[in-house]
Amino acid sequence: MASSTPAPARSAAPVRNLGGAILRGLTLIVLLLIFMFPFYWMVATSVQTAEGLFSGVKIVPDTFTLANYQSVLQSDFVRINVRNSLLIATGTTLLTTLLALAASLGYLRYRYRGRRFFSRLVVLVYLFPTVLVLVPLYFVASRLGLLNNPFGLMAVHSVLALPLCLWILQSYLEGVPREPEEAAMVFGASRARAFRIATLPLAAPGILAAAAFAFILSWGEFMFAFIMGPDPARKTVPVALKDLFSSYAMDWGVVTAAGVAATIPVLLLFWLMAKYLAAGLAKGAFD
Amino acid sequence: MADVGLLGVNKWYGDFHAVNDLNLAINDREFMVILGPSGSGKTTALRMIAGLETLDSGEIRIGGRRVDPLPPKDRDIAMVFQNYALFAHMTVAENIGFGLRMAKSPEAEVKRRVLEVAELLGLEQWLSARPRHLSGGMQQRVALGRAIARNASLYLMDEPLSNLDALLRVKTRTEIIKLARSLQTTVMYVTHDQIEAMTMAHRIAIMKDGVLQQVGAPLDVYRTPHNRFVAGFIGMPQMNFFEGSRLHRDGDQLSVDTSVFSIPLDRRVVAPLDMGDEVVLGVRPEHIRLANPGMTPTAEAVVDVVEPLGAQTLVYLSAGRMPLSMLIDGHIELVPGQVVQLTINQDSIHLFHPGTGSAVPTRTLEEAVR
Ligand SMILES: Nc1ncnc2c1ncn2[C@@H]1O[C@H](COP(=O)(O)OP(=O)(O)OP(=O)(O)O)[C@@H](O)[C@H]1O
Ligand SMILES: [Mg+2]
Repeated sequence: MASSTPAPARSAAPVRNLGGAILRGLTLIVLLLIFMFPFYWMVATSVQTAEGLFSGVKIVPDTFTLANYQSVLQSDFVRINVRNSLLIATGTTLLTTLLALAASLGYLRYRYRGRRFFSRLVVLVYLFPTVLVLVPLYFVASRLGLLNNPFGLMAVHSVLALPLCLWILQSYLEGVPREPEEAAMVFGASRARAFRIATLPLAAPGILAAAAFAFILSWGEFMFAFIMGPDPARKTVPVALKDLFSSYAMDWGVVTAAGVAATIPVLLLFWLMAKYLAAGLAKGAFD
Repeated sequence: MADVGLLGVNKWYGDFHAVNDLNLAINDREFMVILGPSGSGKTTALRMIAGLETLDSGEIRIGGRRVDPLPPKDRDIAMVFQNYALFAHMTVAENIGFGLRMAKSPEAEVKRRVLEVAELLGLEQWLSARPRHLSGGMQQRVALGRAIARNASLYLMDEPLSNLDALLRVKTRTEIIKLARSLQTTVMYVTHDQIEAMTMAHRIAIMKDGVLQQVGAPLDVYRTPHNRFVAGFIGMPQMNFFEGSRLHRDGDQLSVDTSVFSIPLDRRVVAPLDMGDEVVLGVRPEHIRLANPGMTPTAEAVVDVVEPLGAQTLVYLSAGRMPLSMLIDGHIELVPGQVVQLTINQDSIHLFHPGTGSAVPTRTLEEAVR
């Protein structure tokens, strides 16, 4: 029936748009469910009592306890591993952001031979799987005495984060008008001061996005952290989580509570900076 | 307050010669306009003076002091940027006082001066607003205010009016002139608008493809353009050019002949040309008149289009196959297709070399004898 009497195009368009909107919405919900389910499962498991855990699989927990969190808080996990990770991630973030900022400004403010070529080359690094550098890096680190040393891991994490941070910052700074900085220079500021006064406030979203990326990468990085910090006192959160899994008497409640605890800093970061992240990353993505 | 000298200044962008051996001297307290079409190197020249761009060769002096090795902050200049370049996160007052604060003036002095400037520019009510809440015209005033709050020895302005609407542009133009005169200061003003150049400048420097074409007072440049480019760029509507004209002598009578009409050149010698040489004849639309009855007309033409401008009438015509335009005072009833007789005063014509485009100096006999 409907196909034999084609509706006028004008009235059909909004209907089709509505259909499209519903479809898009549904797709997003399904995707979100798929992505969020493991996290939900982790939270749900972490608040179950031991009895609740052993009485079968359920979507909605039927028992509730914070005992798992209590034991995580009292364990070495927070005292040692979270502390290690916080230190290394913060160090990585500062180091990476400063380097990326300096490099993007070098690229954007000065003209020299091979400027474009080197800028592209940097991102090319991601074409190679990082495992390739695992062994050489291990040797370099051990020769330099950087094993079990937070600065060694900071350096490695910075190497991993730098290309993307550089790219985020460069694209963002490219979109920040240059004239205010030049005006500041003409009206009496040095180059560095002009950048601080005129460009930095406008570049903040890009800088925060790059910093957040570096922090999250360092916080979650497992492979290098595992190889480079075998000393129990130097283990980071991901390495400690893995240890919890492989211990012979695995306590699911504690493991998941630790997992939740490990996710909280990242969630907090996202929540605090959602506004800037969106602006900072979008600039880079659509350039 | 200072004179400015550019000596053999060159700028390359890769293989592109953006500013080509620029020599220019600006007098103390002069309002110098740099005029030229898009891409002619005006902004590049200004930015080199400001220190925002390096020189590939040459020298820049401000007030007798060589400044090209100095960073912008040590050149004692103020600048108004085309898109204002205000500090978005600062208030209007902070923007205006910026230069003074950078110079570490006492806070009381900064406050006093900011107020003074704000009053001068009518910005008193906006002092605590952020620039983005102001209209384009207001933002431009803040940019001007930031420049004049400081007593710089040289003011640079790069198309400061180009983002304003027509009415505001004329108004602000007058304000800038008044401001410059009252500040008694040296100004270099970049524009591609020849009306701005003619109305504001003490002298105009005309650039094309990075090369300085001519420097002179507005009327001098209008009356004696050094080449065909300047002749066509200065003056609205544009000068008529008649290609393939020739110099001709018939007995004692010298004339310049186009393919359809001939202009006698009594009492005139044309120094470096021989008879029969090809020239380009240039005549401004305002120097073509309708012939009065009884007069011998110079040319006959057919009216194509009539554009009444109010005080004047702009008429497009064809003389043979050659198009030309004529600007006459008042309103004149002409209809397309009508045949009219024209006169062209021989004192108002220009001759150019067809190849180089440089002006052929034409002097009256009296001048030549002297
Ligand atoms: N950073 C740069 N790199 C490469 N070429 C440039 C650069 N800056 C300017 N140019 C080129 O130099 C030429 C002159 O530029 P400039 O901005 O001085 O022109 P302009 O006379 O100010 O023109 P407009 O009226 O359009 O502002 C242009 O062709 C431009 O493309
Ligand atoms: Mg320009």
